[in-house]
Amino acid sequence: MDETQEWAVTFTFAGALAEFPADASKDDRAADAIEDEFPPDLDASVSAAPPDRLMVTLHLLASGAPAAVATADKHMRMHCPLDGEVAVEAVTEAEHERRADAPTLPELVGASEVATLLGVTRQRVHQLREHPAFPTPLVEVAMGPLWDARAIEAFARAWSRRPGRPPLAAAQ
Amino acid sequence: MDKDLTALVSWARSQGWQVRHDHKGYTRFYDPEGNYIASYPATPSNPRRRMADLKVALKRAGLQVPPPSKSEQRAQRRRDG
Repeated sequence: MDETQEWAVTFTFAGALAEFPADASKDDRAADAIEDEFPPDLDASVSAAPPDRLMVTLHLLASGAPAAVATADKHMRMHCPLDGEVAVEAVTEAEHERRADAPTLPELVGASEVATLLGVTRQRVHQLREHPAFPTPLVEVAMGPLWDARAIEAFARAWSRRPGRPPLAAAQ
Repeated sequence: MDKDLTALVSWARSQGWQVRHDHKGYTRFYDPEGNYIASYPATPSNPRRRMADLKVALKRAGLQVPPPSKSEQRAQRRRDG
């Protein structure tokens, strides 16, 4: 039997935003009205994910994810006026907080930083882009390519450097 | 205003989001297209939990959050001992 712990259970509704007034300044009041339907101990919070998703998150104690979803579902049936549920997810409070603090972007590096990481010149970085194992940039902007630093570090670990010019056959 | 909330408001605004403080004491976040996304009450019953809800909601709606810089990571390691 799982130990009882705190869970965050999030229900996702599709099309629910259409029920909100088109005026964005009123959407927040509609969200407040849904939150106010729930008992305070559930710490209900309502958020939107345009174009048409609405999420309701409840917090409760349960002995595991299935029990958390079952309890939350009872509260949703009693207090939530929304239709169109398409997903439900239960995560522990610890996981919820980990996700809250996790970055959405990797560490990005440009050619200068790549040169420093690899101990080569910027010109050599651009030559290395022809290497079959060299990472593909995540994006190319006017300033140049940007890579995920972890991909460059992985390349650096696996890259077997050979001094001097490459053999003629390899260069062709 | 809570330090975490101040930092989040500042970051969201820097990314083209609108943040408004209403007469009920709510801090409300709108994406760059003006869509309402989520809010933070003036006196949440559980600030840590509500802040986690807010951050998850903003990221789900497209607010990008970069990793800490190397110097920030070093400072964090020093703080953590």
